[in-house]
Amino acid sequence: MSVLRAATTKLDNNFRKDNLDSTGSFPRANQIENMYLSDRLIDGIYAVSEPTRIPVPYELQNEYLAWEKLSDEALENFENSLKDEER
Amino acid sequence: MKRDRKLIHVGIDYIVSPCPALNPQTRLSFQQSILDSGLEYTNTTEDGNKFIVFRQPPSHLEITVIALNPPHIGQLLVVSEDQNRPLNVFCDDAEAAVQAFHNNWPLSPYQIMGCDICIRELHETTSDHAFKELWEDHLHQPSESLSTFNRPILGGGLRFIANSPPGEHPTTRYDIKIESFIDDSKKVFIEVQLFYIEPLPLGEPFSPSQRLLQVNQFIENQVYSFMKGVLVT
Repeated sequence: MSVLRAATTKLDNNFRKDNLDSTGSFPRANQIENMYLSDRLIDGIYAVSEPTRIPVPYELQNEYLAWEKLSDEALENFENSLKDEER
Repeated sequence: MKRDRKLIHVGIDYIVSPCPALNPQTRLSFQQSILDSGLEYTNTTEDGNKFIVFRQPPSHLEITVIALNPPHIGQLLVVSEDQNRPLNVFCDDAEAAVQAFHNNWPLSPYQIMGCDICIRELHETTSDHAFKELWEDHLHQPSESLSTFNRPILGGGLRFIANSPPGEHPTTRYDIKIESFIDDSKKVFIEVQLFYIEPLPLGEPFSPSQRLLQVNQFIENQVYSFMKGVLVT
């Protein structure tokens, strides 16, 4: 499965969004975009494969080379779709 | 690159469950626990869900406790930017900080939901510019190839992301940076950060010294071996 996009979950938000790390500063944005998961996605629980947008297991995040950062709009759409599914 | 190592930052970070309760009483008792564990501090600060205990330079230390998502998820972070202390002294401080944390919030068994360790160090080079040494001596690249940028190169470096082998537990990831130091281009800056990328078993001890020494061993064995091509002393 080629993982193209990823999204964070509530759990990830709790862990990382405003979180200090051992560098003593907020996790920095990656200097090498798209080389691996961006900081906010490293601990993400969900990945979404296109075109099916099916959440895939955490383990598949290792396919990081194919990942790309979600735009804010795409992330919001994804979170809304999760809420719709919960309803 | 010379092998005279100068540590400029050491830090260890735990994301834990359950979350320590932060209130005026526990903030005060934590300060007492820190003193009881043999550490000294110079001041404290609180910011919402965060409580920080400082020790000012020359033996800088920063202990931060955060109620990330009470009552479930909390955080303990111990960082030092003391540039003159050996690693084993920081290990002692981290052990004492962890002990104070446990004494003040005896919520055992804790589960470590996430952990990361960072070591930064500087090395002198034998050339005028550390990136030139990396680029030409280690990567065997012609200096002319950098002229395509049409401007002087201020700095540069290498970065590696290395996951633990499949099947190895706990799953970890090393993030390794080997760069010229922007503030002093004759120095090489090395940063190695180890991430535990899955929760550890319930009750797994914090063991800060062991985790710090594991990263240090990785630097001394793997990273220095990689750099061997440019090590001259």
